[in-house]
Amino acid sequence: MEGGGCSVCQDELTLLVFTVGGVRMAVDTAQIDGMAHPEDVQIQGRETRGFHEIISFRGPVCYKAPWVLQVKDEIMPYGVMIDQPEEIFPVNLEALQPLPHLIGAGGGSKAIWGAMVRADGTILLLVDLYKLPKCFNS
Amino acid sequence: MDAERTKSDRILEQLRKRSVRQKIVDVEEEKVKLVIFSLADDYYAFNGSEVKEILLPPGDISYVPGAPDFVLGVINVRGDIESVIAINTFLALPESKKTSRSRIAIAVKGGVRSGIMVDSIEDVLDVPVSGIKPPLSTLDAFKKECVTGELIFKGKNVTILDTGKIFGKLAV
Repeated sequence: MEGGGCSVCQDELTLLVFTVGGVRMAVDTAQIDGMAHPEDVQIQGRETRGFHEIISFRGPVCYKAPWVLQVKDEIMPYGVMIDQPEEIFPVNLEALQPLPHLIGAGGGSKAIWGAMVRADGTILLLVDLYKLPKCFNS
Repeated sequence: MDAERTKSDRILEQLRKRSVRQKIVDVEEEKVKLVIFSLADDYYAFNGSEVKEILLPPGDISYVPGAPDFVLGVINVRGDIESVIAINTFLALPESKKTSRSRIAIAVKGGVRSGIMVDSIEDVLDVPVSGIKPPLSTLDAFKKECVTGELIFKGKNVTILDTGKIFGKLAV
C-alpha cells in the first residue's frame, strides 16, 4: 500500500498541509497521486468523500476552497475532499510526535496518528489516508 | 557533692524527658498534598504528587477531529504535545465555560499524562491524612470508584479524585 519505497527507513516525510473545519492537518505526499478540483474528479468518476464525512467533527464543516486529494490505491483509487491546501514541505521524523495517550486510547480515529509543533508554536495533526475508515464502495 | 550530682542528674533527666516529649509532639502527622480546584461551583482535589504543572489555557486548544467528546484538544507545552480533557461529563457536571480563572492541570498517573481543564485552582494544601474522610456512601458506584475521599475546605465539601482511575475509565 505504501508508495515510494520504505518511508519508515527515510529520515523525513514530505507533508502537504491543509485545513478542514479550521483544523490544520497534513498528509504524507507519498500517499497521494495529486490534487484536483472537485468538478474534475467528478468527471474522472473517482469516488470522493468529504474529509468530515470520514472523520467526525463536532460542528458543521464548510469547504471554502475545496480540493480533492487523489489517494494512491492500487485496487480502487479514491478522493478525499479537503479545504485550503496550504503548502508542501519536508519534515524530519525527529520533529514528529505521537498523539497523547488519551486521544487514541479513548476511541479516537486511528487515521490521525501524530502531530508536530511548527516553528510558530502551532500544532499540525498528521493524517494517514490509508487508515481512514473504509467508507468507499469496493 | 553526690547530692549536687544527683540534682544535676535529676535536672538532666528532666531535660531529656522534656526533649523526648517534644520529639513526640514534633513528629508530624502524615500529610498528603492536595491541589484543590473548582468545577461547576463545587470543589474537587487531585493528589498533589500527580499534578506536575498548572498552566494558563492557551488562546487556542487544537481540536482533534474524531476524538472522544471529553477531549478538548491538544496544546503545545514547550514543544511537547499534551492532550487537554474535560472531566465535567464524566462527573455528570454541566459544561464549563473558559474564563480568566480557568486553568489546565497537567496530571500524570500510571504512565498516562494529560491536561485537565478546571474552572479555577483554589489552593494547594498539605492536609493531615486524618482530616480526610471516606467517600460518601450515597455516591453512585461509578463515581465512588474514582473518589478516594472527602474533606472540608472553606466550609465546603471537597471531593478528592483518583486521577489514575479517571484516566483508566476515559481510556477504555
